[in-house]
Amino acid sequence: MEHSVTHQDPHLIARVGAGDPDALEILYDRHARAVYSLLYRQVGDRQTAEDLLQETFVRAWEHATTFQPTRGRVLPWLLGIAHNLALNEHRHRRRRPQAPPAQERETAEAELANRPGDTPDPAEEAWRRQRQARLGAALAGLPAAQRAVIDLYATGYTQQEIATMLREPLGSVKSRMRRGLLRMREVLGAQGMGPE
Amino acid sequence: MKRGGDVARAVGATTTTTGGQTGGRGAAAPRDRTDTVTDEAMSSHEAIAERLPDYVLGALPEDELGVVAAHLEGCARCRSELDDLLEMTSLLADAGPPRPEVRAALTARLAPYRAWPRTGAAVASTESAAPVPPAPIALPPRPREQSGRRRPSLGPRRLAPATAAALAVAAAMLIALGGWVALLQRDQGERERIAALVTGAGNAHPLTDTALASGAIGVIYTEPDSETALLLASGLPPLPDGEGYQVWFFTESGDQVAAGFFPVGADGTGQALVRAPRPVGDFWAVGLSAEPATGSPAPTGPLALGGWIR
Repeated sequence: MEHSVTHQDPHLIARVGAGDPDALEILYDRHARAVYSLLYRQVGDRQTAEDLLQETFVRAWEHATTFQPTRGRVLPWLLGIAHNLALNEHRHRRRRPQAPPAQERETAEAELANRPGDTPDPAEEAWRRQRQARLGAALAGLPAAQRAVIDLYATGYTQQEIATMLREPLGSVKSRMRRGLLRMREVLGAQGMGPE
Repeated sequence: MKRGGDVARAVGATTTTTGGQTGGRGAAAPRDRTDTVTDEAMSSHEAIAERLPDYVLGALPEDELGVVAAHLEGCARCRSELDDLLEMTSLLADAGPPRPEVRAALTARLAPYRAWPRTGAAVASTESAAPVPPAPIALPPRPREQSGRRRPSLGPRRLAPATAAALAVAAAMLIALGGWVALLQRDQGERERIAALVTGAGNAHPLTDTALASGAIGVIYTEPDSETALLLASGLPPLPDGEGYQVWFFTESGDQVAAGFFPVGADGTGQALVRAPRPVGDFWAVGLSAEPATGSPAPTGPLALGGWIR
């Protein structure tokens, strides 16, 4: 999606650094879903993920002046803050990250379908769900070794962490991840469903 | 003003990890240094692409982050791959949107910054003038539990360093307060009110945010059902004749009400009972600003000292 110059992420984060709450809210509206999804995958329950989501944006507010546009994009910066908050949460709980239990996922998805007011656009949501389903199918079609690393990555693990868990060399994990992601791009592209 | 600082602090005191910009992420296992590559080796698209997954998580080590960011700046092919990866990651991990209450709570935390007057410094050349509200209030509010589903909690689970420092200063101030209270020989009622405020559990709220004096710090003792609060502060700069530090209480929606002036001595310290126009539990934040001695209907100066009281 294109944004006017004043609504592009680097400009918004500069405004946040100068103390403009409106700019933070625009960034929230743009990136909260991605940040929340990562947190939910990592901590496994919606309440904690929502707490950490809010904390992520509060920390972005407090430390926006440390963001350097030459060092990367805003979303990865936010995800990095969120990821580390989730790690702290796990240290606090003394257990490892895990995907949400299947039962909670199902309940949460049912809740999601009935939530008032926070589904942006039904058509967009339907399109997103369709792409998600096809992406899931593409993932399922990957060789098991590639699927495993991408599954873990989608849960919020870094490649180094995946290598440690699987007791594989980091280089192998990276190349499997790379091949798997390329394969998924090809599948989605062939279906006319490539990322926008 | 406590903006900025090390992002390491931004991501929690108990981790060595940082947001992606400063890298050095503390993975559970030691990093495989044999995988480290030089700037030259990382110049290939393949080497960059291998690192994009960690870049997306904001987890790329510091020594690789700059190289990847610089490459992305000049390489449309890798930018396109990054866009695709962001999209796929978003779809794979999608948990749906967060509840609207999270945004509402964030908005509430930002409310005092909307209420405060902005002094109008430019942010960037693309905008003629951008507001410069007071420094962010580091200690977030702690809303009361509500019936039914728990409202998103608003605060960190441990004391921020600034908070701990403020409380340490408050302890020192209490010693000075003892002498001050001793002077209140005539008013037994005030002495009792002060004793109740200071000894009540959870009554102390550090004041650590300032856009006026980096050394300013304080604490306010409140009880939700009382209009009276005890305010202690130090490090406030002396003001010119004809000005004083006016006290403001902020509601959740960002409206502010004046609560008189806070006397500050030549040494920059002060202690006083301040009175809100209604129970302090109605308010979310408190702040001081330098105002004409005649009083202002709304803050006109920068935040001298402030913090959350919920």
